[in-house]
This record gives sequence, structure tokens and C-alpha cells, in this order.
Amino acid sequence: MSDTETKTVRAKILRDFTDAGTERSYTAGDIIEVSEGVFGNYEAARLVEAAPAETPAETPVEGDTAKSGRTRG
Amino acid sequence: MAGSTAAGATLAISAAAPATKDAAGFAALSFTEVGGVEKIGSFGSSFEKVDFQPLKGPKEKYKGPVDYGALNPSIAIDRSDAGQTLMRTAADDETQKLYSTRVTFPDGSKGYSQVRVFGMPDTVDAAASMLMANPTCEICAKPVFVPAT
Repeated sequence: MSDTETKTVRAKILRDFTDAGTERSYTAGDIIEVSEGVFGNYEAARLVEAAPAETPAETPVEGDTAKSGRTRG
Repeated sequence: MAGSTAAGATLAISAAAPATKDAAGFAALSFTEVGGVEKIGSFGSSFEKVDFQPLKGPKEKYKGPVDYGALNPSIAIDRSDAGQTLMRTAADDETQKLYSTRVTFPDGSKGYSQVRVFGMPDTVDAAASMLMANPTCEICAKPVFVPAT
């Protein structure tokens, strides 16, 4: 790995693999955060693909009957 | 200087090219270590010898073109190893793309180079042997050696 890199990328694991340098194992389907450079290597080897950005969990909005399920009487 | 065994040396590969072909450029890259390496082989440039035999006097020897050499590692095949998978990608790459490699010596010094991998044949030998792969990584740019700090 690079000594200087800090930017990370969300990556979806496409198949099970192990990184001998970090001794970490990855499972297909998992989403991980890796540095851009590591992602470039894994992606070139077709081990990962870019994962969509994480969307925040929806929370009911006060007064929003469609989402809260409450109705006005 | 004390001698050293090769134990602990590692080989790593990167799909990226350095912005500058010096120690800083290579150090900025992310490398993925190749697992299951039994040996890495020779690392370093050599010059072709050009001989001239004058009619009078001893044979003269000159340095001809430089050859940056090749890495010929022996690797126990592990299809789930990320570094081996990237090495195989480099071998299958039909373009002239250069991949970066890093050899880390047991004392911490590093040898960087840019290579084209001309093949990674699998070797199936006797029953009492490991399935091995022997990639040929021809070094295509002047290697950069970084002493241990």
C-alpha cells in the first residue's frame, strides 16, 4: 500500500479473495472502504466494482402521513 | 556489510504508473502484495558486451545497450490471491500497458520497476509438488532502488 494515500472508495466485492499484504480476506457481496490506489488494483483484477454511495436511512417526517403512517382525524 | 538470506522478501504489483519515475513517484502508488512467492529471481540492469579485437593488441570490451532485465518469480498458485490475480490480469493484458512492481528486500530496501508481463504459465509437475505459476515480468523502464532508511 501507499504511505501517503488517504482518499477512500466504497467497493463491492465481486468474488472471494485474500490480500497477502494485509492478510485480510473478503467475501463476495460485501461492501468495503479502501484507498483509491488499492481500489484501482482490485478493480483492475476484477475483484471489486465501485459501490453506490451510502444513502441515509429514511426517518419519518413529522406531519408526513405517507411516511409516518399516521392520519389526521 | 553483513550478508542476508532472502527470507522475508516480498513482491508486489500495482495497476498504476508513477507520476514521476523516482522514489517519490513509486512510493505514492498503492501496491498489492503477491502471495505464495517462492522466489523472485534477479533484479537489476546489465549491459550488452561489445567486443572489438584490433589487429594489434588485446581484445577490447565496451558497454553496449542496457537491458533492465526481467523478474521471473515462482509462485504457488492461489486463485483467490489478489496480487496473483492482478499479475494474471497483467499477463492477459493485450495492450502495451506498463504495470508497476515493488520488490521489498529483507532489510527494508525497495526495488521499483515498470514491467510488461509476457505470460504467466501454470506448471503442473509431479504429485509431490505444488501447482506453480512462473510469470515473466520484463522490466521496461530504468529500475529505481531505494535503500532502507
